[in-house]
Amino acid sequence: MDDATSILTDGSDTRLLVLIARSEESFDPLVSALLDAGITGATVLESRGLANIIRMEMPIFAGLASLLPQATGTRVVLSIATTTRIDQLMRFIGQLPPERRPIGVTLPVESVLGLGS
Amino acid sequence: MITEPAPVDLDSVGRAIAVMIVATAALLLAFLSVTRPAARLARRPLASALLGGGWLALLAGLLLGPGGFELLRPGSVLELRPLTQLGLAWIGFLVGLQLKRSLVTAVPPLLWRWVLVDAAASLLVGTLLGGAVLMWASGARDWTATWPCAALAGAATIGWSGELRSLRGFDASSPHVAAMVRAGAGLCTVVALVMGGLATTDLTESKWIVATIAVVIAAAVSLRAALGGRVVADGGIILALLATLSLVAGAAAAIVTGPLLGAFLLGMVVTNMPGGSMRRMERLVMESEPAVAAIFFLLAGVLLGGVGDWPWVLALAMVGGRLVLKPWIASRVPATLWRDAASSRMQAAVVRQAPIAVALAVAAVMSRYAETERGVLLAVVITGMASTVMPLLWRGRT
Repeated sequence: MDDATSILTDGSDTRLLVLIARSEESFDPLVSALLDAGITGATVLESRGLANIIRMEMPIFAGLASLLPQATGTRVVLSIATTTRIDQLMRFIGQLPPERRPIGVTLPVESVLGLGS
Repeated sequence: MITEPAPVDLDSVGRAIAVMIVATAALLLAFLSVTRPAARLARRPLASALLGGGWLALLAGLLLGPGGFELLRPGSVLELRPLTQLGLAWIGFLVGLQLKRSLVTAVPPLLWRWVLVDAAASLLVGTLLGGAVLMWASGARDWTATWPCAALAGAATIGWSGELRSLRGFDASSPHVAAMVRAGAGLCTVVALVMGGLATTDLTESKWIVATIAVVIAAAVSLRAALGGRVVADGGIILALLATLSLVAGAAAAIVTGPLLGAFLLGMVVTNMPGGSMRRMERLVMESEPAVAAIFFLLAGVLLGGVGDWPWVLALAMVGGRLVLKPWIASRVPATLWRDAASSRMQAAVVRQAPIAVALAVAAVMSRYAETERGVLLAVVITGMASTVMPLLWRGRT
């Protein structure tokens, strides 16, 4: 049991950051903001919105896009970062025009596994 | 000095009210088609076929039109011609937006082959069937008089519906095949639109074609200037788009090439332009697809009727042609696509007529309100409904 918990580190000062960039145009400044805030580690997932899925399932005139479903421009960014850096990131994001701001949440983290010391 | 007011022309007032009723009904239906309950309803297979094929909107048009409660009349629809030209331009633009370079280059050779063989065979068979029935119905001996409507029947035969949700169970086990069928439907829509547009264009007047291309380039540059390189709110995007499409549709109508082709070319140019709010505009246009389709199916429902029995004969020939031709081509040309029995069952999907056929037929009726055009519209609607029902029956048996 001790072996299992020893690989976990305390995450009380960190948060899980989940950000959704809704377009190619909003993803680019988001990456810059992450780097400016000192968050250099993040996982980026190609994603699709619900409206896109509904439209893709029932195309009327335009069905060609279903060939490349990943090309929606929507991306989800996952990262574990300290509260200080997240605050800094939010300040950068706050300077973006509302259309280019991502949708996002931060969640408290109990413990962290696999991040380098 | 008090002058007596001029007497009110009650006929004009009545006509204006009738036009307003048509416009209101179309807008209401467009609004309803993009609401949350409509999206929820479309999750059910049967409702998906009805909404995806536009048949509920068509039924609404039939009920409100001369065949039903007579609230809407074909004359009122024709008075809305400038707005319907804009709607057609919107559809042409939407279809053109598909042709993004990255998407076109990703189309596998197998799909190109399938689409091109289907388009060539369908155009030939549909045009011959249409021409034969039209010449028989009108007693004409001159092919040139029936050629545009025959070619319209040919263009309407190209391709198939990309809606597969109603055939759930066919596509669930073969998502790759489903993507190919949908993409093929999108490409065929492009070919059908171009063929349908060319059929109604006088190709001998090359100066008008050059003029259309010049207008399209000017419109694309203006749109890029308005939306490129900066972030524009949705309202601004729609305003810029409406202005540009009005310019293209108006110019195309004035120079006889029709709004579909010009707007299609514009969509093709715009989708390959970089930056700014262009991608957001594309998304807004794509999301409007059910609303625009609902409007045109409603108008088709109102414009139906008042022709002889020959459209039923043409519809019978078109349905028969689809039943024989489509599965035959699908089973032979992309033969390696159908890896197992489950994916092979999806060949039934290609029997269903593409929704663009109704838009093409409505465009023809709007440009010339004559019996031949109205007859082809009726034949296209009957073919669409019959070909939508058939795979559902097949699905029920398998």
